[in-house]
Amino acid sequence: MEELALARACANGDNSAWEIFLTRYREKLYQAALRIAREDSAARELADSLYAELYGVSTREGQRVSKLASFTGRGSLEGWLRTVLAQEFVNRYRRTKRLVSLDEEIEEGAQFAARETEPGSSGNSRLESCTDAELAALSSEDRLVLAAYYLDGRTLAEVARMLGVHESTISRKVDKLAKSLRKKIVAGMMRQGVDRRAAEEALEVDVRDLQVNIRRSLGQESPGATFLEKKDALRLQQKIAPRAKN
Amino acid sequence: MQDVPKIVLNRLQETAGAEAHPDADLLTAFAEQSLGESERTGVMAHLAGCKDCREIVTLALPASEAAAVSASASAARTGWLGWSVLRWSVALAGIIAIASFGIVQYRQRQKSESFGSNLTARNEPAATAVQSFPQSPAPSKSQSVILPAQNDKQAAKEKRPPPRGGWQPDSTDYFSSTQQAHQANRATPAAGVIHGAASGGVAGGNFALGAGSGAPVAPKAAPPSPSNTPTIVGDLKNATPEETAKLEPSLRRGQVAGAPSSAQTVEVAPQSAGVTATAESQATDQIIENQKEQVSQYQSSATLGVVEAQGAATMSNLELATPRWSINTEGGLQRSFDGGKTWVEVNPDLVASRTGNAHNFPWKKKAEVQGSPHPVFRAVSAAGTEVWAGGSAAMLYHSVDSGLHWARVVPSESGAVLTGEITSVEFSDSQHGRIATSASEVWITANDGKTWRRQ
Repeated sequence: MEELALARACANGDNSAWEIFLTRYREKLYQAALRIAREDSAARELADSLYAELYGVSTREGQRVSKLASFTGRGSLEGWLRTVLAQEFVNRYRRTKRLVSLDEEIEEGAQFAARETEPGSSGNSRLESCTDAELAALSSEDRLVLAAYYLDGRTLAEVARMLGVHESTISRKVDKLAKSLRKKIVAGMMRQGVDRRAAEEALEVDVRDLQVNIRRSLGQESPGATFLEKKDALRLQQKIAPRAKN
Repeated sequence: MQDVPKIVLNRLQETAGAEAHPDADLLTAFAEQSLGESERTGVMAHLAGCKDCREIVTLALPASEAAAVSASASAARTGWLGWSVLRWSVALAGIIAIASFGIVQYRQRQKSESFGSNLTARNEPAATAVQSFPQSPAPSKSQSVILPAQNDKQAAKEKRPPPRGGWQPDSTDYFSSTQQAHQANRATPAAGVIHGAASGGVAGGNFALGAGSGAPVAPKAAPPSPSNTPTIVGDLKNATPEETAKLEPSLRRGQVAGAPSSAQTVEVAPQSAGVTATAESQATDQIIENQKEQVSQYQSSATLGVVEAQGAATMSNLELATPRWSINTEGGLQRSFDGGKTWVEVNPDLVASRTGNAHNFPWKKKAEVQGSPHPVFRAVSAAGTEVWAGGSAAMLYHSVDSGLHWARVVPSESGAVLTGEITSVEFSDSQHGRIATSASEVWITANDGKTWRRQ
């Protein structure tokens, strides 16, 4: 309640409240920015830009607009400030990085492929439908764990921190999900009339991987490598990559 | 760790959270674990499909969050374990406490039982021992005498094994130096006394009518008196209330089971040096004053048998038990406080004073006993605390306090006195009695022996 009152006072332009706010949170905000940006200059810039938004330098219809006005007190003010800081960082620096990366990639001669169209293979459609069904059957937490661990490449500790559980819990959950999903997808495909062997092979090989591999092979690979060898090399590379992040 | 199929990750990636991104408040609350279940589920569903929001949540975690989360997780686990351990520890401690309490109670009970058994163990047949009266510092103090529980001569004569249990005098007890003290199966009263003249009183009691044959009568089992704390102290002057209280359990425990017999005859002879027995004590006075309080009902029979006196007078200071009475083959008057297990001879002649025509109760009168032999009793009648005992030479004794004090009664009428040997004593109630003698005389009273009339 006190934090909410302070935030409201700051949003209303109370200088004394703002003084109090700076006294309490200035250093914390900078430390959070430093942890996010991992660079001192970027952290200071990030923190200073947030101060301006919190104070309300911008106006709308003649009234000062302060970001602190959006604080509703559901969480702590310090945590809210970190979240806002992280949002600012993601919005600003990801855009900047994308732009930078795009320019860099163009200079390096990278080719940007068009959006891949899903193959119309019946096997893949059955596989996809079974996969979607099994993913939909998972809880939101399980899907979050899979996404954070496999897609984001987060460590088990980071995922555990996000969910507020112990690392061993995430480890057991990931292992359990990996085993159960495979079995359930194969079972689902078998119910649709697909042979078990075929289902397992389909699960192992993604046709889209073949397409990507062909493109890469055509653009970069040496002429000596066969299609299968390139496919195997790429599959191995992609399997190793997530493990390296752990 | 096993990888999930790629198709799974691809499909997972494509299932983006179409909903609007949660605001900073919602993400903060999610990171701080302060969301409700439904809201948390919704945020997680979005996060599962939104990489940016996942990034924001991860970046927004404080630097100490890792240590705090792991610490809280470990603390929660430790706390859970700690609580579990504490819970079981409390339960175990409670069980141990209850068991300890039970063991302590059991040991205390065993101690009390062993105390009683020790007293019983002391009632073993012993050789004839002669003990002398200790030198009393004050000659005015009455000497307490212990009644030897067993007469070896009697036992040898009767060829009966000494009964178990019983009283056994110890060194603190007093014995007549001129008397053969027989220790047999009797626990020594703590106060060291019991005895006819000066002995403690027992209210009521079972007794036997002595027939002319003087054969001992097997006492019937008497119901336990509710307030049985006999004061069996030879002399209340010498015995303190504590000793008196101690005396009662020893008396109860020390007495052996069995019928009174000659083997259990206790003979007491006054010390030649002179045993001064006094019947004077404050407690005695109180006992006397309360002697008539309670009406007792009893059954009497002219035939041999144990007469059970029901009811017991309650004393203001001393709770007296109801003893049983009997007469042994020697003509000795015996009293038992433990339902007939052990018997103690009572000699009313020690303090009784001869009365004239009127029935006098010289309770406060001192009497000197100078080696007079105990009378030979032939009949006894008891009702509550009141006891009548008669025998040779027209001796008739009356006690209203279960033998604590006695009075010699000489029935007479118009100058004629009772003669001969009293062979039966019958009292239908506390007032009406009938005495028969060997001289074919029958004397009756209707006022508790105050006056007599010859039939």
